[in-house]
Amino acid sequence: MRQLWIFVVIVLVAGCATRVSSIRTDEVVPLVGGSGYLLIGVETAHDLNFVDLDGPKSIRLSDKDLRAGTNYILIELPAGVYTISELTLGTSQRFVLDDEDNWQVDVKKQRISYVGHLVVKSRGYWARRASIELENRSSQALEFLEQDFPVILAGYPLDYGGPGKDHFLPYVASQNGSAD
Amino acid sequence: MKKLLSQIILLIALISFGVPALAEPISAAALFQKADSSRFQLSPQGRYISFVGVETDNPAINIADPLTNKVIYRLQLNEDQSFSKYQWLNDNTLFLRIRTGQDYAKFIITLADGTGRYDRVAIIGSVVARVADNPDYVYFQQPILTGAPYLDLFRVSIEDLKKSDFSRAQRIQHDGENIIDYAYDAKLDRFGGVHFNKLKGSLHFKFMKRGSESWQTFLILNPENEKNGENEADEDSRVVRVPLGFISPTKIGVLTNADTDKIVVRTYDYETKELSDVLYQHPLYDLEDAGFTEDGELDYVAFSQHGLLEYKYFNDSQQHLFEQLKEAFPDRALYTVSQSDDKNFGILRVAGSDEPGRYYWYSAATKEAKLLAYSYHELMNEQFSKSERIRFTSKDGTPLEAFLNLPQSASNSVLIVMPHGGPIGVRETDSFNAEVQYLTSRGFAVLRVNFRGSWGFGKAFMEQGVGQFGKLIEEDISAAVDEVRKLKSFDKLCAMGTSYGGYSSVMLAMKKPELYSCVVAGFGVYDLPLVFNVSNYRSGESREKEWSRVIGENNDALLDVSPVYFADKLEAPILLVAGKQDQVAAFEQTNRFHYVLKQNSHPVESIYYENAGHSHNNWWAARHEAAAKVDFIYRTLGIAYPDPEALTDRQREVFGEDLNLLAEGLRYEDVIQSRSPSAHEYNLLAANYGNGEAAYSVGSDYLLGRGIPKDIALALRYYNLSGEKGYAPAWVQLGRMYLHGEQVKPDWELASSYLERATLVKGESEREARLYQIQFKCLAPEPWRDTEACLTDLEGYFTDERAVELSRKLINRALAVVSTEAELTREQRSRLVNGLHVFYDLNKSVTGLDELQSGAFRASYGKYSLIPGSEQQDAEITTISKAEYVEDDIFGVIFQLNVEGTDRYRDAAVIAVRWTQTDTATQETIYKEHFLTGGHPHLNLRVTRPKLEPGTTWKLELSDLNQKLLYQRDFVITE
Repeated sequence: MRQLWIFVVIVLVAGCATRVSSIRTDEVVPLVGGSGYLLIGVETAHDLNFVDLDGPKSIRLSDKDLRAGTNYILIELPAGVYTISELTLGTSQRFVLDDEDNWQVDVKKQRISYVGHLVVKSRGYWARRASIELENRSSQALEFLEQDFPVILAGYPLDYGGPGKDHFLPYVASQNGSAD
Repeated sequence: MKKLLSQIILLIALISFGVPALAEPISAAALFQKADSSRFQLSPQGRYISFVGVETDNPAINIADPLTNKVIYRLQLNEDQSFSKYQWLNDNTLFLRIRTGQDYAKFIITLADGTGRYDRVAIIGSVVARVADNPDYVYFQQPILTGAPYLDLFRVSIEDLKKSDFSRAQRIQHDGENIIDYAYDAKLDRFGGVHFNKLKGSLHFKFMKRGSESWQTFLILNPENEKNGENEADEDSRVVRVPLGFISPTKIGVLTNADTDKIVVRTYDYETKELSDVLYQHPLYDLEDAGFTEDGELDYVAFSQHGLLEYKYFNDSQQHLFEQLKEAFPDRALYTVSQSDDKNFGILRVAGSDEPGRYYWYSAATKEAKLLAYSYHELMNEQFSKSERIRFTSKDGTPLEAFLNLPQSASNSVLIVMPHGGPIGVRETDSFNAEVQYLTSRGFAVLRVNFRGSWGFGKAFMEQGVGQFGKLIEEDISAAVDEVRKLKSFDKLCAMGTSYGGYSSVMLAMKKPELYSCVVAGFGVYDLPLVFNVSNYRSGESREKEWSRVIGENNDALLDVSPVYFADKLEAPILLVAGKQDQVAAFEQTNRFHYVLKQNSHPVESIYYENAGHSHNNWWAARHEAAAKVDFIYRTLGIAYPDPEALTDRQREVFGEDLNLLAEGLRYEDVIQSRSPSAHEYNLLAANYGNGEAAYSVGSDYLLGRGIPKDIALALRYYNLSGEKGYAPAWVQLGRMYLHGEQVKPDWELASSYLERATLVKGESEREARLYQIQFKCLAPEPWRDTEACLTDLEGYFTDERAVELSRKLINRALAVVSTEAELTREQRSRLVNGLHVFYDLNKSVTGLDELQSGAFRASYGKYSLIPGSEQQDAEITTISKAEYVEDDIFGVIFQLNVEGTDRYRDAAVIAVRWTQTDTATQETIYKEHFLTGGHPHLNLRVTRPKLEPGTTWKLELSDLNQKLLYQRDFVITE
């Protein structure tokens, strides 16, 4: 197994990304024609500060975007390919993810794109490096939407938009008679 | 030799005599635990035996005289320490590497005059070998620089090693060859060295004649490329699997399957790079070991024959000796664990399917042998199920092997088919299997199969399993099931396995739904394409290469053998077990299968262990899993737990232990279960079987009203039952309740009696009870009061380092109780305060509190901050409404101590804390807690409680050591 160990970069965070607002209420508000929902899970031993994504729009997600009591962020974005570029934890540890190919995710228009779980493992509070992976946990993401956003889930198809190919969500959709 | 054999046979007879005629269920705690004794070694001359023993849960290195069996020296470790490595330097000196957390420390034990002593040594590195011609010297390797991977080689005296002094050590090799590990071959008087080529990922084996300075490479292995199946492997890698050491100046012995189906033994000339002809090949099995004589002739080979390690010697007398030993220990594997340098003395380990392991010492010279130890002392009188070896042929005529374990006694006529993990390159053996014994001792039969893909039967056999998930592998298992069903009849069949075995269990039940009545699948994979795409890094070309050699090509055909995509084919109820931290079979695998089964309204239960990976990292979880699996099968198949009245005491004890484990699992937050019966119900059941711990939990449920109406009378009844069943904490609890008047009126007679009973059982409860007895002497009225004895007993702890180490918290609490509650004369108070000053190294008295914050607090980045609005609301009372706070919020006070004179960091003082929990409505005391807290005057001290329990009031009182009240507040918790 390849394992990426990413060293902390202790510099001031450059502030060029746009802050967006995550979805708080479970209601179907028609998406703007060219946009879709991005769903991402975050798992860290320490508090999350920011996740930066570059793409059709450069955005910054923060701990305030997490659905209360969960480790998920659901936001509306212009459709397109995004690259997760940086991650900052509450410990002021900033991780630059410079191997772009491994961090590209796809947000499809008029759909919910679950792009994976950002899993950060580091040893100790002030560790200077961490293992960061984008894990496919589609079934857990689906259960989250069923629990917290059933209306939106009923209103838009759910896809896997993370790295690699996955059969699970299309299969579940086909079983529910909602395949397209 | 005859004498040796007769003694061994006599020993076996003696040991067998104690075995009960009727088998009983074997305790999970006895089966799933660390071996009592392990890692036996003989000193070089055979004068001493050393071994690691586990006593009082902590490991100890023991050194014993084999002639008297007397332990002459023991070094006991603390609970957070373990022995990482140890070896004899000479007959009187032992070198140890001890691990504490992430750190390692080295020690040397020196034996003299019938005892020993240990010294910690401040050296980095490890012992390579003893110097053959001088027992006072060793070869030692050290990093060339601190933290460097490459090593220097030294010849150093043991005396200098003890002093951590290398100034006189002779440096044999420095830096140049980038060696990461050294060895010494006494026969050819050569040093060996291994160099790791980081760029190619290859290992370069070198040697150098002692006295020379030039190294010669004789072998290059490329393990990474081998694993990935690339063609870049060095030539040596393709022919050598396991190097066995030099057999002549230019040849090494090797185990290889370079151009044979089976792993065979050959020699490899590293100058000509040629393999010799096959020296020995077993017709059925891969070889696992081989040895050569001093003259370079093949001495012996080893292989697993029907799961049991067998040796074949090429010297007639040795072969005869081995056969005699096999006669003495039928159906057992024999392992020579250690031998003296002259081979006159040795230690033998004997184990088998119904033998967890015994160690024997023998003297070849006097032909004596004697039993040294059992691997698991608690299991020595148990009756185990012995494997029956089943030989059968698959549908395509391939001969296969399987193991059938039948119940030791009464059978419930259920066969559990248990496929092994892997599936490629793993196999079943006929060695002792705790899980199998747990099941058979509870009435189940267990079948395990070495299907295609298993290791040990040659390359072709193993390769035939590749890509056969849900196909040939399950056909082989089904052929074994058919064979067994011809021999024995069973009412029901269940499939149970972990890892690949979990997957296979599901597939077996899907393919033959008419046959299987239940499935237990643990740590498994159920969506095969997901194995190739777990994450952004665990995916792509290298992942494809690695896993296609097991699963087969990653294409849509895998969906046809992935249970997630045809879950409706499963008819049998299923229990899914998984580790949330599993990095091998990702938790997502299990969650997906669980999701689709739930969608199909299939009867599915799940147990997820929050902190487990691909297996458990603690014994409790292994025991819980075993009990939960049996409980699931019982419930699914309608098998009732036996009537406790019909059982022997011992049987009741074991079933009670199982049921209590199930209750504990329901109480622990890190065991997530889909089914949620109350822990109280399982505890009640366990209590009916006489489980004292369970009765204690039931008592606490009634005392605290945990999920049931509060009932103090029932609480007292169950605590009493718990104590009667030998669970000493119940006597402590009762003693404390009557001593402090918690939920009951204080009753000195009863308090005294319960505490006395608690002291009769050695261990933590006894230590706790003794400290309550001291409090009793200070607090009780006449005629029980004995303040002088109370203070004297407390002072006894001040000088007893061992007692302080074991009971630091309890001593603190006792001191706080006496300081806060006892009526002492001025002299007695002064004596107590002076004692406390010495014990805690205090130099100041407290005059007040500074910077005090009171209310509810929330953690952020490791620091607690006062939640706005929760501060003091009036002079004496703070009301906290649970609805306004989150789970991890706490309440209480944070403050600094104000001491007499100027505040300095080197000053130290303490205060006494008393928390009293009362029922807000009735004002009855529920619980009291006392402790001392303190430090320097700039330190923020936190006196808080974690749980918000509506309907209760927590009174907090902070006093100085002279009972002067410094602060008081009631925290009233509401809904």
